[in-house]
Amino acid sequence: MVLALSKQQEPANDIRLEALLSISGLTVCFPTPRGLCRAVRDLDLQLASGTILALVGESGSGKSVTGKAILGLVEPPGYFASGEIAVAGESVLSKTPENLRLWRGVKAGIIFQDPASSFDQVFTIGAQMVEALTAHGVDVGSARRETLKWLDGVGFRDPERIISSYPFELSGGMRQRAYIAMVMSLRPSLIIADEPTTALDMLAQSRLLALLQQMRQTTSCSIILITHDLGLAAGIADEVLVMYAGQAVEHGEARNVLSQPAHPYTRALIGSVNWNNPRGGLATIPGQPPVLSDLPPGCAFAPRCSEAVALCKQEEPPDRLQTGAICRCHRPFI
Amino acid sequence: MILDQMRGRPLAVKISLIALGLIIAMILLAPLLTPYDPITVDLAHVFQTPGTGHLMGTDSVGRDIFCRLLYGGRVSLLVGVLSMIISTVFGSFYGALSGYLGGSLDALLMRVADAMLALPNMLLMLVIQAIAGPGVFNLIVVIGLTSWMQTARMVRAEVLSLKERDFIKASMLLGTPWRRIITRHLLPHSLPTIAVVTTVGVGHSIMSEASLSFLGLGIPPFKPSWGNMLMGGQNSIMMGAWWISLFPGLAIVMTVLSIIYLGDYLQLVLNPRRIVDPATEQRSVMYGIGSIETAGTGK
Amino acid sequence: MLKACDLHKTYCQRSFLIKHDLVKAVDGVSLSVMPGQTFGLIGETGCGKSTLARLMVGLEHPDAGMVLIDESRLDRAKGRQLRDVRKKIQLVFQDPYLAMDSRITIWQIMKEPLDNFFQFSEQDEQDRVASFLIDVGLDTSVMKAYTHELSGGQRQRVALARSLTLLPKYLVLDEPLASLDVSVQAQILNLLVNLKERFELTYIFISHDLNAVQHLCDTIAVMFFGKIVEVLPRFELSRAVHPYTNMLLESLERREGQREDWLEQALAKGHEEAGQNHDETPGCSFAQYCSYADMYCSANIPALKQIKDGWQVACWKKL
Repeated sequence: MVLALSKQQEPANDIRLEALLSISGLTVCFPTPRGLCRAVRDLDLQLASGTILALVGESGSGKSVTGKAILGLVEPPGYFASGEIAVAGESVLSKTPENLRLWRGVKAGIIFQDPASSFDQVFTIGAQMVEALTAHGVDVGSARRETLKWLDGVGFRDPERIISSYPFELSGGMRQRAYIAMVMSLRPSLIIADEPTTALDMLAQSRLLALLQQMRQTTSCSIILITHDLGLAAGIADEVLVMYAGQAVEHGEARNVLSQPAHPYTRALIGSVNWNNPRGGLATIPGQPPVLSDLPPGCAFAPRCSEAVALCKQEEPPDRLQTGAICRCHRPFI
Repeated sequence: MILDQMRGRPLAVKISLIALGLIIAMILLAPLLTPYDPITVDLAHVFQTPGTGHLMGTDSVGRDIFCRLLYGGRVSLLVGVLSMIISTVFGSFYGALSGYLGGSLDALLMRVADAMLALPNMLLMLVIQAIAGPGVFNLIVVIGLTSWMQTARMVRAEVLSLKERDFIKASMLLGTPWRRIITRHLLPHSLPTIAVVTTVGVGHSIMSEASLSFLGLGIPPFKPSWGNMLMGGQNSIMMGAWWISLFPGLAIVMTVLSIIYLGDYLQLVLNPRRIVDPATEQRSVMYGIGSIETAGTGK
Repeated sequence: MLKACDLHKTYCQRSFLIKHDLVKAVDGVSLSVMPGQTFGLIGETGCGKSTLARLMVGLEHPDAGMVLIDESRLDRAKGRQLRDVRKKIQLVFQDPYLAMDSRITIWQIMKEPLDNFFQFSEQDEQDRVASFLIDVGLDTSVMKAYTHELSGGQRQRVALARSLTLLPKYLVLDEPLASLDVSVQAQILNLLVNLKERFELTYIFISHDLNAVQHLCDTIAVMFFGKIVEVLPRFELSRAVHPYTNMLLESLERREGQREDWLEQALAKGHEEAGQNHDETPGCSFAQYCSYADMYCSANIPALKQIKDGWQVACWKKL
């Protein structure tokens, strides 16, 4: 942890220069019977290599769509409306589907929410891991060695046993770790973890996070952790990006965002997991997230915001730098 | 309005709907569409080829095929649909009861159904029909009572998996009596399955009617039905009169196919999962939380 | 008072043709919940806490032992008697979407229990349903909606309202927060606190989230592999005795990044495999993961022992 933080305190300019992932103006749309639903709106993001970014938001905030979009995955009828995504200087959106398939895995891997569906039930873990490697041109012998090495790396006591077991023989946490081993064995420089802990128990959760942290240190890959749980973000992330209604509303270093949130939404989110509220109950956010196909004018959060004024309901707030973080709000806390 | 409803549906469904609608309309309007009588024998005009005056030709005793087809359709569809309603209703309740109550009752009910399935269907129908005597009403009941087993088995399987689902468990906890659980929850959720079995069954029962009529136990040969027209024309095929069997055969195929396509589509539409709009993964929030917020919000 | 006495439930896990594994989902659990209490039950997936919940409300039959609700036996009740007991205890399921019929409207869902027990007029029924919906913080307009038209939080509110319609004394909540967003979890937790006061409820709150249990419950029972290993009052949680309880507490601190050494701690090999791929031992089931355990532990089953008023621990070493 200490090591990780000191790494982050290198000059900020360099990070901008050698951004591993750069997204500009990304908009993803889904046509629906009720009108066009813009799941991601005008998203900008620069991510340096070796960084863990937590993408935080409620369900329907567009965080999962963003995660998949980075790998060029948008489920039809959804489509990329505008914007550009580049990973390590390569444009993702201009690749052909075949190139994209080969590129995925080697350069960027994804870890899904449900460890049960990540593996095929009828093949052993080992067979699937070896196949993932051989598909990218590794010979079978070294693929097997590599697989064992990574299974050991993710903390299995007995990799030989895991390699010959079927997915259903493992617990959720173990399956998730085995899947991480599979993703990591291809040595991607970017990993997208889409709610990797929601299906797991507490012990498995903390273990998984520690593992992600460790992976970042040993391979210096970047990790985008998609989650709705701020507590989780607090534990491991270097940077936090808070999304609301498809937009990034706040983005900055984890310590800053979590200790001095500038955006009222971030503040409210933190309040709702503050278990030691002096008033007794938990603070909650009133109302419901907006329907993406029918957004209110002005700031999307305004109807639920305790700080909102007339301006908020008329004009969309601009991005601006606020206490070291980018914040999209007319009336940020400073 | 009907056109509005049809928009956006698959082509096969559109064609099926049109075909079925056309067949039913023609059957209902039979007297207006043909000047002939379906029963009167006209020995002066036997084996007329299709075309001249007789749209689909005449049969071995000079009756107009087109006319008999229209009137015969009334009987065939009536038998097909009504017997299927009997078999569906009976089979669904039988299966749901067996699956939901389980235990030894389930074993008993299912062995009875298996026994009936094991007997040749035709034999069973022949015996019952021989006892009950010919006639359209008897035919409907006989076909209905000998074809419910498949529905019962399918519904039972469906119910067995449904009853482990949380919402059924919740209903049990809320004190809902088993009769109401079956009628309010289990059967409505089995509708997609029931729809498929039923539509396939309509085809079967039209064929059953044909076979029984052919064996002289269903519709008396002088009264037209698609089944006995088809069977009656068999001998004439040797003599080159292909049209006598062809048109009733076509009518049966068209009707059965249309019904099966519609049944398939019905299963899709009735599928409860389809109600969730797949395009918007975020659920539509039309009903906001009211003004009463829970305490502790600090407001 | 709600009492479970020495409950046992064993499932037969059938692998295809090969072997029949017996899984002791609930293995000799006894607990008693006083009226007005909020009883928390915490444990990892597969520890049998959901089975215990189902045993307590009578959805499953115990192989041995009994469930007593106000002196009447739930596990033996049949017919009319069962219906009467059912009015006293209700279960709130983990996923409200799965727990409600998706083909009928909220109004029909809500009136089902009323139809079962009372003969109200239509208008009367409507008023009652409306008042329950308002009690859980919903607008009465949801009555016309289907479950898929509501958000996760709204669904859980409807599910709560439905289980309140029979005015039960006891409410068993089986992971009611697990399917919800964190921000919504807070809303539902607050609502639970409110409803408890308003309807004078007794909760058995089952969760794997130590935070939520700690927040809501006054007594916490920790379950490991079909057995309750520790029962303690909330305010004593920081002084928990059983090694497994401490393991859970540590993992929480680690997760929130409150411990310096969390990385090494969490990566200790085999740590998480506790409770999974479990070898049946004659003794304490936690022994194989426990740093205090010795031969004696793995040979003898520890029983729950009272160490203070309302504090019981099943451990050989830490007493």
